[in-house]
Amino acid sequence: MNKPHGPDALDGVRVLELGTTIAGPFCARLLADFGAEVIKVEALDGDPLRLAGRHFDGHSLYAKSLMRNKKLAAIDLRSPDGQDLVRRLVRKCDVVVENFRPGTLEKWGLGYSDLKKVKPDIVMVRISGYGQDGPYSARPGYGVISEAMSGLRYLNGEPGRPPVRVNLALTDYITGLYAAFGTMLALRHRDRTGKGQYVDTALYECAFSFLESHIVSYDKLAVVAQPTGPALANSAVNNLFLTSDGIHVHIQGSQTNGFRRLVVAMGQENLLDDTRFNTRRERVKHAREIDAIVQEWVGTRTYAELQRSFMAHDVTFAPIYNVADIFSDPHYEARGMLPRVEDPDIGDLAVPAPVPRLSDTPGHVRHLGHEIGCDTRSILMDLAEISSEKLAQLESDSIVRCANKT
Amino acid sequence: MLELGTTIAGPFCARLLADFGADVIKVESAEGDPSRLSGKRYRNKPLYAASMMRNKRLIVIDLRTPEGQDLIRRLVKKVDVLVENFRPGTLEKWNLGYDALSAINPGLILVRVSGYGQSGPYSQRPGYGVVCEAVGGLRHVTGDPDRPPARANIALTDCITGLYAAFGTMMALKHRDRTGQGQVVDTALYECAFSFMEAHVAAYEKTGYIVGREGAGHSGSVVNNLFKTRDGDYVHIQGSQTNSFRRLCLAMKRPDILENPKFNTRPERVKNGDEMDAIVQEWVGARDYAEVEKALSAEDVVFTRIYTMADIFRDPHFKARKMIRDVPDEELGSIAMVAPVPRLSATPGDIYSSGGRTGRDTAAVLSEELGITNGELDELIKKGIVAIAADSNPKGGFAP
Repeated sequence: MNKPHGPDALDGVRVLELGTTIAGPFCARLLADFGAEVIKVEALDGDPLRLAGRHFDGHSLYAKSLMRNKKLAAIDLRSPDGQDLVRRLVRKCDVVVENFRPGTLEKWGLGYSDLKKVKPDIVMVRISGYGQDGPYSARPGYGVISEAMSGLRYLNGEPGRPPVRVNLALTDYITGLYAAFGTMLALRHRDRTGKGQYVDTALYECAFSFLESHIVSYDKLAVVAQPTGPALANSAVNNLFLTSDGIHVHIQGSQTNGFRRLVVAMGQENLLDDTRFNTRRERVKHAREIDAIVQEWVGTRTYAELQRSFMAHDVTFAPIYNVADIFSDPHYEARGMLPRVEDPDIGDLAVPAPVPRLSDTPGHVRHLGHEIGCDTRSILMDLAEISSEKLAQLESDSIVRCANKT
Repeated sequence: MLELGTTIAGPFCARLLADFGADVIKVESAEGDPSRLSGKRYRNKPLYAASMMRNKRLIVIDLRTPEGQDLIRRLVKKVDVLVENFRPGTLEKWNLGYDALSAINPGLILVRVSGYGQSGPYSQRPGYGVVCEAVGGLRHVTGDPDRPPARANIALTDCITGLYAAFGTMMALKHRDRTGQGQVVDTALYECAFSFMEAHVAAYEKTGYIVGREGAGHSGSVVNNLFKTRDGDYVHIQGSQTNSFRRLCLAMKRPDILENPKFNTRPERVKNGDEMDAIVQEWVGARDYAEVEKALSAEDVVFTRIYTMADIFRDPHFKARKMIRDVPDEELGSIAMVAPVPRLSATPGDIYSSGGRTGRDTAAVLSEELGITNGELDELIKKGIVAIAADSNPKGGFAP
C-alpha cells in the first residue's frame, strides 16, 4: 500500500478482523487509521453492514466509512477449508479481533488455544455482549440490549418518560474503543515479554464503566441514579434553553465566574446579590428558579441576539449542532475534521478524521471501503502461500470469493 | 506518569492507565481537585473522587508559582507520559509547554485533553463536556423527536475522550519504544464525540439526510424498540432479523404475522414500523413483566429490562464477572467500584487503593523521586509551594 506520509504509530502491526457490523470492525478500524495493516475477513455474501444505513449508487455509505483503510478478504468460516485458511493467516498476524458469540470460534477450531498453537504470541481481542464467561455469556450481544443492562439506558432521557437511545451505535463504539485500548496494552506486554494473551471485552461492561459516580453513591447511600433530562444534576446554571426563533442552546454558568458573566450578559447583575443564587450550593437548591429566569431572557431573544450578547461577555454556551451545522462550522474546517476521500465507486466522500491527533504519527484515511473480496487473491497468495491453482479450486468450491478474476 | 488534570476527562485517562499498572502521580492544588466537591458524600468523604483517584499517588504542588513549575520540570525527567487538560496555552504560560518539556525529556509523551483541541478558532473556549457534546452532534440525536434534546445522566463525552486519550497514549508509547521519540497527543472533547457520528456523516454528505432524535426506537430496524408492560416495567425487544423476528412472533403466539406481506421481510417491517410496534405494544401492555419475561425467554427472544443501579447490584452476571469490586478505604472501610475493563488474560487490571486525601503522598513522592529532604520539604510547605495531608503517612498511601 502506498503511503504518502511519514511513519505510523502502528507500522508493522498486522491485524486479522473476524468481526461483523460495528464493535469489532470499529476496533480494527481505529488500529487501521494509525497504520496497522488490517485484513477484514468477510462472509462470501458480505458483512451485514453492507446492507445498513443510507445507500448511494448502490453502495452502503456506512460500509464505505467503517471499512476504510482495510484489506478485504472473503472466506467462508463455516467450512473446514476456510478455517484452515484463517489459521494459516493467523501465523502471519499480531492481533486477531473478533466479535462472534462466545463459543463460536471454538466450534470452528479457531479458539484462543487453537490460535495460540499456530502463533504462540498472538493477541486475541474478543468482543461480545456479556463477556466470555458468566451466566449470560451465551446470549446474543446487541449494543442496545447490553446498554440497557449496563444501566446507561435508564439514565438517558427525561424523568417520568420512557428512556431513550442516543441515535447512533453508542455502546458498540465505546466497546470498540476499549478493545483498541486493550489491544495496545496487550501489544506492549508482548513487545516486552514475547507473550500473547486474550482481551475479553464485553459491551455491557464497557458501558457500565462510565457510570462510576452512580456506583459509589448507590453502594454507600443507596441512591438509585435517575435521568435528569437536558440538565446536569447538582449544577446550575447548566441546562438547555429555547430562543424566540426556536433554537436550543445549552448554557453552562455554574461556577462563580461563569455565573457572573451570564447574569452580566443578561443585564441582571442584581442576581449576584440574590441569596438564592449567590453561591454554587444555593443555585443548585434553587435551580428551577434560576433556570426560569434564564429561560425568560433567552425566550424573548433570537439566537443571533443571544449569540452577540454571550460572545461579548464570554459566556459558555453552544447551540445544539446537527450534522448540517457540523459541515458548515469553521472550527471543524480549520481542524480538518472532515477529510474528503477519493473513491472509485462513488467519486468521493467526507468522513470523520482519525482522533486523537498524534503530532508525529497522526492517523490517516488512505482509502474507503471496497467491494467484497477485493484483496482475497493477494492475501491468500502472499500471506497464506496458496498457489493460484489451489485458489481457483477454493473459489469454485465457494470457500473464498475473489472480486476480480485475473 | 504525571497527571496535571482536573475533574474528569484527563483524570479518567490517567486512571485507565493506572488500573493497568502505570505509576500515576496526580498533581493537585492545595484546595484539591474540584471533583472533590462534586457528587454525593458519605461521612464527609466525596465518593466520586475516591473512585476516580484510585490507584494514583496524590501530591500537592502549586503550578502557578515558578518554584512549583520547577518541581514539575524535575518530575518530568522521571516520567514517560504527562496528561493534562488545561485550556490550551495555559501550560505554555507556565513554561511547561511541549517545547520546554521535550527539551528536558525528549521521549516525553504529552497527552493534551481540551474542549476544542490545541488549534482552530474555538481552541480558547472553555472545554465543558456537555457543551462540546452539543457541538460534536451527539446531543442533537439524544431524546424524543417531539421533545428538546435530552442527555444521559453521566459524563459521557468526558469518558469517551479520556478513553481516546488513553488509546492515543498507548500508540505514542509504542512509537517511542521503537524510535525513542516522544510526541503530543491532541485530544478534543468535541472531536471524540463527533467520531461516533460516523454513519450520519456519510449519509448527510451524499444524500443530505439530517439525522434527528428517534426516542427509544431505531427507524432502520424493526422490531427494535421499548415497550411498556401492564405493571409499568419497560422492556427493550430486538427482533429485527429474520430468525429473531420469527421467535418474537411465536412468543406472542402470532405466527400469522410471519405470513403478512407488510411484515415478513426486513424492508417491509421498516416501512410499516409503527404498525408493527403497535402490535407488539398491545401484546406487552396486556401482560405483567413476569409473564412477558416467561413468554419471551421460552422462545429465546432477544430482550431486556432497563436496569437501574439497584438491578445491577443484585444481578448474577455482574456478580459472576466480579464487575463490582469492594476496595479497602482508610476512611470508609471499603467502597464499591467498577472493575477495570477490558479484561486482559495475562495482565488484567487491578485496583490497588481508593482515592485519599489531598496531599496524601506529597512527602513520599518528592523524597523518592526527587530526593527532597525533610528540611527542604518543610521549606516548600512553609512557602505554600507544596502541601501534605494533615495526618500524612510518610511512606505514602500507595499499597505495595
